[in-house]
Amino acid sequence: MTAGRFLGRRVVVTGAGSGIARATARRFCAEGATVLGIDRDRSGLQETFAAYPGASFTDVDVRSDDALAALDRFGPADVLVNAAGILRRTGILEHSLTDWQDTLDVNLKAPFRLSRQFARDHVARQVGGAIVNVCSIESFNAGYGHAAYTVSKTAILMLTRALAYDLAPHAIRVTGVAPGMTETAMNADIRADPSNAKRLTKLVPLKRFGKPEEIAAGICFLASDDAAYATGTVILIDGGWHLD
Amino acid sequence: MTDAFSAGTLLAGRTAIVTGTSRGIGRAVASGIAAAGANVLAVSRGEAAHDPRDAIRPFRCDVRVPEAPEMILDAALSAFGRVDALVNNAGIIRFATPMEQTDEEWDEIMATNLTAPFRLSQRLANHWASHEQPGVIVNLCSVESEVAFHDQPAYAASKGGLLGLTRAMARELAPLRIRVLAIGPGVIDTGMTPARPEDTERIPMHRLGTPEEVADGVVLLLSDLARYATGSIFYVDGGYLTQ
Repeated sequence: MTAGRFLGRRVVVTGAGSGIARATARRFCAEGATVLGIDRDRSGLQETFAAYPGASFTDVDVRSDDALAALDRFGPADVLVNAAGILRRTGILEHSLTDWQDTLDVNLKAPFRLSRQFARDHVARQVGGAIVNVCSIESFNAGYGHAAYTVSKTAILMLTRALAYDLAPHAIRVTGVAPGMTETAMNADIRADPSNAKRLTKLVPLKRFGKPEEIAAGICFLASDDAAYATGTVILIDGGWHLD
Repeated sequence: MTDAFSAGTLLAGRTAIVTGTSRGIGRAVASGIAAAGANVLAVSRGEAAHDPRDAIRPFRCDVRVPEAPEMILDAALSAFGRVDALVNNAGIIRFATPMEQTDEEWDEIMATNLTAPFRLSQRLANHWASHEQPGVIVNLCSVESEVAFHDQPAYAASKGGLLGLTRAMARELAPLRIRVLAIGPGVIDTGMTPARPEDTERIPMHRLGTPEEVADGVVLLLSDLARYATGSIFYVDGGYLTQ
């Protein structure tokens, strides 16, 4: 924790009702930021911010115009973290168009729409800012049975780079983290079986799953002035899994 | 075509579907595959003239319509009796800054560059799987699957996603003897805009690529020369990504 690192900064975190986004939202609060959490899950948001009464949150779908309106109502933000994501597991031959479209809409189009609005506001006000996108190890390889998810995460890697390139002249940095297997609800079912969990962690050089807080630490670094010269950067935080 | 392929046997007896063949790279890919000995179903939205000496059957279809995968597969089977390969080439680009790229442009680009290849590839893979037949798919990615160009955020995302689709399908379909590969053209002279010095000075080969050079790469990936390759991307970019 870097006390006071985000004092006076205003931060928006999507998906803040659980997982990596929850840990990130809490860390920003703990480091002094004024945080807006967005998630469909109201009780999840309440739990995230229970110890941080200064934070605000809204239970809207990240795909909706309501999410854009929430960003507007929050007012000038310094940081946007696109962390909301979904994973649908089905084999490639059966992967449904609904799963495909939902995954691309939540994991890719929503971050684009929120980033566009964030960028418009920053360009109009002529102030810099930072966007951090949650990519994945699957931005670099393929998850079995994860076709739409893999596509969405490879796409957001390139979206991160393209936005970084176009927004650099406006002093808006765009970066990302690429988590490996992290202990969140998204993969709770496959971790629940001890033999499966053991098989999976054997693939990871550090021999364990990541914790949401360990991903949050990377996100907060990239959003902070400590990373002032980094843009287009995507940091792998995966226990060394990509070495395998 | 280069001399190496002039014998016209690399793809002899095969049938390939190529999308987006009315001009540019897609047109050259259809010709190149035909020159290597294969039959080609050339899918495009508009009229497309092909060399009558080539074994190319034009088929008019918008790859984005819901029934496109079924129509395209049916057309190939009724024309040639079999399908061995698919080249997902059809793609569009809409230039705009991130502040100005619209939802409509985003949707149109994703539907064409990403969802259409997914649906067509999935249909072909199911066809091959049910016939216990091998197959090969080549996706037209880009150096923009790796690096950024200005004012095309939706296009960049779509080309990144198409590389992910290549990997995801390759991994799952490998046991079924279906290979899935990508080709990554650099800056290609498609005759639409004349090359300017500033376009070529950043390219180590100091020139733009030609559609035929991309087509040669596609033929290579489709052929048995690449039989142990799957999930990878072959950049044909004059060295662009080295700089």
